[in-house]
Amino acid sequence: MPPLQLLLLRLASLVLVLPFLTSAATVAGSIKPNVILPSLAILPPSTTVTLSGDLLEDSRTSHIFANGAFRFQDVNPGSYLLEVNCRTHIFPSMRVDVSPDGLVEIYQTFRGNEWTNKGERKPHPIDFYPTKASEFYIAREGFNPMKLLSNPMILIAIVAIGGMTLMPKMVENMDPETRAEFEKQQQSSMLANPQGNPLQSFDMAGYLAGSSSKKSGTPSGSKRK
Amino acid sequence: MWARHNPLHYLLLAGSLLSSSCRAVFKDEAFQTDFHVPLFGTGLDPSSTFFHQATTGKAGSLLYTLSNRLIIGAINPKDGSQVWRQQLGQGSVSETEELSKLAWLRKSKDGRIVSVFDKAIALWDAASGRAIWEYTANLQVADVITLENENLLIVAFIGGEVKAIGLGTGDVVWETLIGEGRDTASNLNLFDGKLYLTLDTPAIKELKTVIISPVTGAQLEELYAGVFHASDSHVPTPQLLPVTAFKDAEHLKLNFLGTRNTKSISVDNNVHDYRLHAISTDLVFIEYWSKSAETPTSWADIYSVKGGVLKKIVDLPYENDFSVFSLSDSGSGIFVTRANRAEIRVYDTESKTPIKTYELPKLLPANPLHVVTEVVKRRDGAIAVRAALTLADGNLILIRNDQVVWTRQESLASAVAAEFVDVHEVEDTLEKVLHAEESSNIVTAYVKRLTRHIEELKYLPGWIAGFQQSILAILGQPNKAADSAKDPFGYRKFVVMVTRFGWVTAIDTADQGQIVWSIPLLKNQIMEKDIKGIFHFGKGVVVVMLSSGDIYKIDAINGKGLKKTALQTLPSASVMTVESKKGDSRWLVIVPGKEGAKGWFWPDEKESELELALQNTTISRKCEGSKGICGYTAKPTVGGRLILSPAWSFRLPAGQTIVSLTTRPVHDPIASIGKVMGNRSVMYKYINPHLVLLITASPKTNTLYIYLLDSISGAVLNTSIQTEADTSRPVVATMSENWYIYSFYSKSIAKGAHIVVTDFYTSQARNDPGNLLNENISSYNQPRSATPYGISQAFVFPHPITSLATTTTRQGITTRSVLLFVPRIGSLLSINKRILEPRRPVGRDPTNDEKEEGLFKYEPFLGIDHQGGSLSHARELIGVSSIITTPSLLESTSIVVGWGLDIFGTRTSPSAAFDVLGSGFNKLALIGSVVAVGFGTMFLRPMVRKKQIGQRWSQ
Repeated sequence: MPPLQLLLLRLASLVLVLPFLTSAATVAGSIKPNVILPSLAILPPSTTVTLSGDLLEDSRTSHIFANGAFRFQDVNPGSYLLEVNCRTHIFPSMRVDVSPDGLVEIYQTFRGNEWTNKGERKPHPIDFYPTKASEFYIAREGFNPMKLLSNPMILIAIVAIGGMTLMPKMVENMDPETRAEFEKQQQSSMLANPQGNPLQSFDMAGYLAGSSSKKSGTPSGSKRK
Repeated sequence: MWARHNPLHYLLLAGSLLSSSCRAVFKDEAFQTDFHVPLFGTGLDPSSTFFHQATTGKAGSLLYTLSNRLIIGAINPKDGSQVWRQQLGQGSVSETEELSKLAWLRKSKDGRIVSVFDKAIALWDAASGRAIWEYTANLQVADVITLENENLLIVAFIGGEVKAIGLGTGDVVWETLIGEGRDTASNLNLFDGKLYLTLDTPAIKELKTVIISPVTGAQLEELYAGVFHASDSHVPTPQLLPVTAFKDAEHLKLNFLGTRNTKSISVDNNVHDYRLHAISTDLVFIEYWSKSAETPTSWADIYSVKGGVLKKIVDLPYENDFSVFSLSDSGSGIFVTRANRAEIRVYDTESKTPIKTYELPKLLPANPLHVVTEVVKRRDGAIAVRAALTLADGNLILIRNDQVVWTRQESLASAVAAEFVDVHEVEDTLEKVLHAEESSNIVTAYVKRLTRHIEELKYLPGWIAGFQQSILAILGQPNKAADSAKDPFGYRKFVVMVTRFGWVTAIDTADQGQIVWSIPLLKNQIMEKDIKGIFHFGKGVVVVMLSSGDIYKIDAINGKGLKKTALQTLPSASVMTVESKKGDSRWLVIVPGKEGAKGWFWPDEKESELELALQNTTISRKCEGSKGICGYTAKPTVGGRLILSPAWSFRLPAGQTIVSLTTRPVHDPIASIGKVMGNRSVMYKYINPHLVLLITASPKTNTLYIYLLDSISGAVLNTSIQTEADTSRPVVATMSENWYIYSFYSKSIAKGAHIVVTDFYTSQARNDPGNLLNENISSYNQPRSATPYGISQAFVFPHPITSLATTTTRQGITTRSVLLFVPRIGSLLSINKRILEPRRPVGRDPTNDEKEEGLFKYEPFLGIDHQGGSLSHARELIGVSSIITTPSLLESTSIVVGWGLDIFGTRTSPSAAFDVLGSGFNKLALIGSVVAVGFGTMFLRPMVRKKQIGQRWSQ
C-alpha cells in the first residue's frame, strides 16, 4: 500500500475516533542514568512510577520500560503527585498539574510542605535522576588493629612503654658525665618520692617535654641544681 | 568493640536511656537470620500457564504463569527457582471467582509475553521480566492477539473499541470502534490473515462477527451468524481456531468464523464443565469434567475443524476420576497428556489408547487442577514428558516422566490466617519441676532432686560432645544446623497457616521458612470470609474454626489432627478465646451475629472454670450488621451454650462504616509505668489492657473518625477526626502499651500517606499517677475525669502503607518498633517508636531537658531510611498483607513474620542486641589477647622485680 494512502486511511480512522476522544492528557517522562545510577539495568525490574490523584481511581502506576521511560495516557485534569517507587535508589517527587484543556505542568515538590509550595518548574516529558542510592546494611565494626593503634590513649601508652624500655639504653649510651648527672637527678627525684613503684612516679608530662628536646632538658636540670 | 557488651549498658538500660539509634540489618546477618519464600500464587487458568522460549533461537524454555494473586513471572523448570516476577494491578485487587476473566497471560513473538489485567496491557521481556511498554486504557480489555507479521498487538475492549499497538513502541497505530458501543466484544481470532472480532449484540440477540483488516483497522465485513439466544453465553475460544464458541443449557456451539455455519455438540451444562484447547488451526480439543466434587468424572474429545466441517476424530475414555488434559506440539507431532493423581498418560491424536503411561511412584498429595506439558518424541521413538501440574492444594509441581522433580509451595501465597506456635512450650520446663520440688517436704525434695540429677547424667556424654563442638566452633565457622537444633534463644517458632485451598501448613522460622507439615481440612475452597480464625490453645495446639461451624484441633508440633467437631453456628458469629484464671484451659467463645441468641463455648467442659474466667468481664464484637461494637456479659450453661446479656453498645452514626478495629496484642507487657522527663518529673502512662481502637470512615464527607474504647465498660476514652482523608484507600492501625498508630492517605495540603501517633498519659500534669497505683482498678469505677490525656503527632510518609504491626519482647523493656509494609518498594520497614514520639519539639531545637530525655526536633517528613530501618533489606517482598510478631527468649529480640503472599521472617532488636554477642564478636581474638596478656605478665614480672630490687638496693 502506498504510504500516502496509508496515511489517508489512518487519518480517516482518526476522524472516526475523534468524537470519542476526551481532552485528557498524557503524562510522560523517563528515568535517566547519572553518576549514582550508571546504567538503567541496575534498577530492579519492579521499579514503578505512580501518579497519585485525589481519588484512588485517578491514581495510576506504571512499570518503567526497558529504556527508562514511562507514560500515562488519558490522565484526567487535576493535581497529581508523581513518584518513582524504587527500593534501590531514591528519586525526587514531582507535582503534576493537568489543566482541563490538557496542558501538563510539572514542578518539583517538597514533601512535608504544603501542596501549594511549588518548586522549580520542570520541562514536560520529565527526566528523573536519582538523588541517592539506598544503603541497606550496617557494617559491623570488627577488630581492627589499625583502628586500635590510632586511638590516642593507646598511642600514649605505646610511647610510654617505648620510653621505658629505651630509657636505660639511652642512659647507657650517654657520656659518663651527663650520665652521672642524670643518675643523680633521678635519685633525688626517687628520694623525693621514695615509696611506690617507678611507673607511678613517672612524670609523663615532664618526660614528654624533656624528650622532645634533649638539649633543653639538660640545662633545666642544671638550673635546678 | 567490647565496650558494647559492657555490663554498664545493662545499667543504662535499666535507666531507660536506651540508645535511640534504630539499627536495622548487619551485613553479615542479612540472608542468614532472615528468610524469604518468594511465591507466585496458584496458577489462575490453564491458558495463562505455559512453557515458552525466553529468548528466540535459544534452546530450553521457561515456565510462565499468571497466578490467582495476579503475579506473573517465569520459573526455571529445571529446579523450580524463580527467574523473575511482577505484580499486576499493584495488589489492589482481592481474589474473586471472576479474576480469570479479567487477567490473562499470552505468548508473543521475539521472547516476549503479554499480560492483561482489567484495563492495563503490558508487554514484558520474557528473559528479564522488564516491561517493554505498558498501556492503560479507560475500558476493560476483552481480548488481545499478537500479529507477528505486522508487529502489532490488537486489543479489543469490552465496548467494541479496537486498538492496534505497535509491539516495539507501545504507540497506538490505529484505532476503530465497532458498533455504537452497545455491543459486548468477546473474542478476537486471526484466521487467513484476517482479524475476526466476535461481539454479542443484545438488541438483536445475534452473534455478530466483524472482519477487520489487521493493517489499517478498516472494517471489511460484518456478519450476523446464527441465532444467539438470551441464555447463550460465550466460551473462551483459542485464538488459533477458525471458530468461536458459545453455549446454551444443553449445547456447546461452534460457529465457523465469517459464516452462518454453526455446529452443536450436546452436553449438559448444568452437570459438566469444559475447556477448549487448540495448538493448531485444524484441531479442537475439548476437555470435560464434572462440576460436582462428589462425582468426579473426566473425558475429552478431539475434533477436526477443517473446511467448515466438524468431525470427531478420537474420544478419550470417560473415567470416574479427576484428570486433566493438556496439548503439546513437540515439532514431531501433537500429543495429548492426561494426568491424574496416580499416573501420566500420553496419547497421540489418532487413538484412544495411550502411547506411553508413566505411573507415579506415589499418589500426588492432591488432585490436579490443570496441567501444561512438553512432550518430546526421541529419534528411537521413546516419549519423554515434562508436566507442570497445579494441584488442588494450591501447589505447583513439576513431573519429569514418572518423577516429581520439584514442588513449589504456592498455596502459602493464599494463606488467609496465621498464628505463631512456640516449639518449646510443649517441653516440660525445669522451672515447673523445681516448683514441684519446692512444694514437697525436705526429704522427698532431696530424694527427688537426687534422682533427677542421676537421671540427667545420661545427657552428660551429649553435653560433653556439644561442648567440644562449641569449642571447635570458636576456631572455625559455627555449625548453623546444630545451633538451630539447640535453639538456646528461642528463635525457633512455627507459623501455622490456613490456606484458601483448605490446607493447614506449618513453617519453621529457624529453618528458612521450610514446611514442617501440611494437612488438609477436607474442605475444597476456603475464602477469607470462610475462616473465623486460627487460635493458639497453648501446649503446641492450635484450633482452626471455619464459618460453617467446623472446629479442627491440631497438634501444631507434628501436624496431627486431634479432633474435629462441628457446631451449629451461623457464619456471622464472632469467635474469641478465653483463658482460664486457674489452670491452662482455654475455650473458644462464639457469639452469634444475631442479637438475643445464645452463644457457644468449646470445648464443652470445665464450665465452672469458664464461669470464673468470664466473671467481671465483658466480651465484645462488632454489632449486627457491623453498625458498631457491642459488649456482652456471658454465663455458661450446660450443653456448651452461653447466655449472653448485653452490657453496652457503641453505635455508629449514620454514614460511618468500620474500616479498622485494633486491640492491644495478647502479649504486651509494660516494663515502665511512667516516662521520666529531663527534669526528673514523671508522666504516668495510661495503662488499660482493654483498649480498643476503632476507626470508621464516612466516604461522603471524606472523614475518618478515630475512637478509643474501653472494651469492658464500653466507655469512649478518646475521639479524634481526620478530615480530607481518602476513605477508599486502606487505613491500617496498630496499638501497644499506651499508644496507637494509624496510617491513612490524606488529600489535604499535606498530600500523601500520613502516619499519626497518639500517646496516652493519665493526666496532663506531671507526677500524677491517677489511679494507676491503686490495687483494684475497674473499668467501671473510673470517673469521667479519669479519661486519658492524649498527645498526638502526624508524619508524612512517602508511600502508602498496607500493614502495620508492633514488635513484642518478653518483658517489654526494649523500645518497641513499628513495623510497616510498603508495597510500592516491596520492603518491610521498621521505625523506632522513639522517632514516632508525639512529644518531639515542633519548630524549635530541643532544650537540654528534652535532649536528656532523648527527644529531637520534629520533622514532618519521614523519609525512607533503608539502612536505619529496612528489615527486608535488599529482598523484594510482594503482597505482605499482615505482619505478626512474637517474643524470643532474649529480651532484645522480637521475631517478625510477614505473610499474605510472600512469606518473610526475621528477628529484630529495636534497641540493638544488648543481651547477646553479635556474630562479629571474635572469641578467638578474646582468647588470644587474654593469652597474650598472660604471657606478657610472665615475661615482664622477672624484669620488673629485678628492677625494683635493684632500685631498693641502690637506695
